[in-house]
Amino acid sequence: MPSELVVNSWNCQVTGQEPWPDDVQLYQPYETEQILLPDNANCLAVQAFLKMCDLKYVVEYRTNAEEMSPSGRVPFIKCGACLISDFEPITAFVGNKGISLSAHLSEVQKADMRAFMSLVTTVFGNAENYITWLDNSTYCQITKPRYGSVHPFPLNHLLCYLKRNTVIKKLSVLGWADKTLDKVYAEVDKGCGALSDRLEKSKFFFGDQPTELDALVFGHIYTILTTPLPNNRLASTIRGYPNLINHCKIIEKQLFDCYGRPRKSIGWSSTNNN
Amino acid sequence: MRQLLVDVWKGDWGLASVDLDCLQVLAYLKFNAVDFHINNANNPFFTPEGKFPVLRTKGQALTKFEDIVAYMEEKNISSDYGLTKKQAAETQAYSVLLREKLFPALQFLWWVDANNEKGLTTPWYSKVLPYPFNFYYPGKYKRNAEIMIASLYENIDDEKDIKDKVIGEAEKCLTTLSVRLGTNDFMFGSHPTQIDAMLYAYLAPLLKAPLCSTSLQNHLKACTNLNKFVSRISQRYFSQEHHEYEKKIKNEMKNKNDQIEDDPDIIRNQILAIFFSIVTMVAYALHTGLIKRAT
Amino acid sequence: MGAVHAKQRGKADILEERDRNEELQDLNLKAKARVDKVSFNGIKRTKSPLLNYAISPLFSAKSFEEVIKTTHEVRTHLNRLGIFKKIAIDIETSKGPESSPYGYEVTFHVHEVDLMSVALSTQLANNEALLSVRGSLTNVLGKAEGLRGEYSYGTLKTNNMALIMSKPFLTKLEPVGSASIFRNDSDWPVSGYRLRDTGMMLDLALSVTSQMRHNLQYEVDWRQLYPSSKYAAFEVREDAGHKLKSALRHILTLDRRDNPIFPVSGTMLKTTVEYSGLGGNINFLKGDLAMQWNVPLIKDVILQAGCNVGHMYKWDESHTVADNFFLGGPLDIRGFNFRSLGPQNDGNFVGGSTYYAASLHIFSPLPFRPGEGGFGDYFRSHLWINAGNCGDFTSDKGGDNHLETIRVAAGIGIAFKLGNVARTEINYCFPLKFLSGDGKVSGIQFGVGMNFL
Repeated sequence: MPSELVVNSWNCQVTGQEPWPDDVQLYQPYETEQILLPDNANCLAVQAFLKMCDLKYVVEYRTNAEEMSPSGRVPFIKCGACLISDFEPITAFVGNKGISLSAHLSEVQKADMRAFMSLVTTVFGNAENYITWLDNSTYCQITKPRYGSVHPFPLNHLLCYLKRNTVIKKLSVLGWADKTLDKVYAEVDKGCGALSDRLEKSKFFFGDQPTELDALVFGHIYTILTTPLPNNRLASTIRGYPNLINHCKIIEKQLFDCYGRPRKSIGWSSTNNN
Repeated sequence: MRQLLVDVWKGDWGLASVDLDCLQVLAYLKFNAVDFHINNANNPFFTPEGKFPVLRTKGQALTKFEDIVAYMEEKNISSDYGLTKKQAAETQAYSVLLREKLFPALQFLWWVDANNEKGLTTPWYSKVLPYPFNFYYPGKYKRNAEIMIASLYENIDDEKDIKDKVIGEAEKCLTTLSVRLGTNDFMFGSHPTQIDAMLYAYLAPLLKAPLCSTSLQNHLKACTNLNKFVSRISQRYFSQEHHEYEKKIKNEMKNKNDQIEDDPDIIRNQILAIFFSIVTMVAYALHTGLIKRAT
Repeated sequence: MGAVHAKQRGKADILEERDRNEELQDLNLKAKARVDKVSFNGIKRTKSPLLNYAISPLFSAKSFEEVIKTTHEVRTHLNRLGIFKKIAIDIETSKGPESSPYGYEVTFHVHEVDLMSVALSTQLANNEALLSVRGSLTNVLGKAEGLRGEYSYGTLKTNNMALIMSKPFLTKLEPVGSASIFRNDSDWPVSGYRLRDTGMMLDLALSVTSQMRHNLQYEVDWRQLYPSSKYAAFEVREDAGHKLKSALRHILTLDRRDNPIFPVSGTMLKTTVEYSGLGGNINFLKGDLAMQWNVPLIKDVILQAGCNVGHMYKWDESHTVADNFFLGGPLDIRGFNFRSLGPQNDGNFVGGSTYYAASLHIFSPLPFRPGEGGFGDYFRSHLWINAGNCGDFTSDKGGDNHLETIRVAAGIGIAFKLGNVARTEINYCFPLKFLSGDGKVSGIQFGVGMNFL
């Protein structure tokens, strides 16, 4: 009998009631030489979410994580026979096991949270993809060598080219491909402004406890701040919002310091003095 | 201020326009009590960007919603002045949510779903568009929608899986919106703002269009507060279109009833006609010898 | 002298040859002879260097017997070039002023193959219906060069495209070089993956004798492997993605059979050695051996024994599931579905690094011989038994138990010849030894293919 390897979160509801197993694996590309900005942000967001939930998982690094993933996107987790990819389906899957970061919120707050998550994935996700694949200097200096690093010649050139076309197609469908780079930075600025206004002076977006939204925002902002790019305007745009930087620092301290996971240290210099 | 002219796709089903982008602008202008004239242009070929709406003012033609909002703000007209920073942030978040979750579903229902596309959308646009553009635009819109769905869900091969995924996301989004609206008249209290114009533009066509595939429409119909929200805006701000449509429907109902009353006559006439024709045919057959009496 | 028609060597040919030989008895075969002149009739595009090379052995013939023999060899050679539809030969004593005392004139009446041809065909293979379009340019520059394009579209996502260029060289061993580019899509739901191969291949074929041939091949293949569905085994999913295979291959074919489809006697040996790892990122060394013996028992009843063995040496984890050997199906182990025996993972047959299979057949014409000498010759009935196993067998830990898990099936069936290239079999199968997870077929099984075990 073929075991049911279920891909979508709503298909997993049958098995959802079982407790969280010990052998959950999270698959993602290699961090130091392969992974790209948008993928890294998503992987970190999922890891942050799982850690906030205090769920055990092991990270498995695979060069072909993207092709292994049922959705073609990283990261994905393997929980028993279930494979779930992307942030939202993973949170839904964990939620089906009765574990949620947003259980204490009112229904209206949950709705707000969903809207802001949509804002973060759309604005940051598209901007990251734009800069990674459409900005010529980033594409030549960072994206091409990293994406091609795991493939032999001539596949490294070919696959990079094909992936770029796919991303361009997707961005043009979403109305992002014909934006100028300045317009993209303006969108990020606008998005950060909205997040900053929503966060105000509080520790997390909804009170004193982190929610899914906090994990997602952390994943994107931390990655943008720590990823070296030929042009650091993306990072400096975010640095214009001290409360977002602060939010990021708090989560970094809480999550990764106590787990002792060595990570790239964030370049705080411009905000440390504030 | 000089009267503004807005070129749009024409309305139907009690809506001022059937098109999302047009309806959004119309609702926003109505909320701000701007005096403007609607022009049912129905042919986007001669517009600056090949699409509606086009807001024409002195020397300017604006197409994008954001541009129109910015233009109005320049004139000190905005529905969002009363909002706090946090509420403005929410406006932004919800507008992205609508775009991310609901827009693909609408595109899917309008142009990719074969039942709707063949039964409603393409015939509607073909009828409204002048010749020869009616052969061009529906196909173009269909292709664009198909490309959109294909590239958003490039890793799903099965069409049914794609449909489930698109509609599922949209249903979740509708539920979220319904929860957020709650018992309020509008998103931020008793006055409509920019986000209400957007919400109305997304929801009203989905609610009113006589779709053939109705799964998402039924989900929306079940969200009663969203239903009321739509009819509230229709009644308050588009009363003319709303009443005309209701009148039309009443007339149609009346006509139907009249026809049913006429029916006995029709049936009698039909029976008589058939009877006469049979008699004539038999007579002819006998006359020409096709049927012979047994002798 | 009657005309000798170019034809695949078969029973009819043998009879014809026998007749001719009898006729030749009347002549003095040992009589001194030489060829004065060779002429061709019907040449349109073919260039003289090629023809000169092909007929050159004729001028060294010293007796009449040798003339006949070399003429036959030349005809075979010309046939193999594939540029003539029909070859007829006249041998006459030479006349005229330049004729020598024992001189003969040989005339080849040929009919060239059309420059361009397009064919549309449907075929059944691997239980899938295929529609194929083939276009070819034959003998473009007059030296038997060929350019061939093929496209076939299958009902089960099998989708093949190839463009092949070939050219024979006029030296010893009759080398034929060819270069091809291809794209093949295949779907293997039983193994849980879909594969797209895109690449190019260079091939050099050397004919040592008419029965023995070497092929040297180099292949670069961009492989895209996808899980065939969301239910694919995780082990298969782990192999998903892009790989580059760069491989060198040597194939030796020694075919002494009298007919490739329904042999009466003779043996066949084919060995393939493939080394992958010249660049690219798939490393392995693979060996494959296929053998066949045919022994006529009594009149028209033939015993056929066949044996296939293959092993893959791998020294790292770079190979994928698609490189493994698979076993099962009507072409090798009858009585089992395609690829449906051997190691399994989550319900997918993932193949192994070693396989072996053997079969024993007794072929005979149809009972009561309907349509003998005509349509009936396209059919054979056969009784068969075949056995085999496939897996990652290890020799450490005091040997392993692959002989205990050997699969055996026997049956009876009818085989049908399709043209001179393929065979169809309908068998009634009785799986005798199998494991519970195997996809066995007890009952009717249908198979189409070129190489049957």
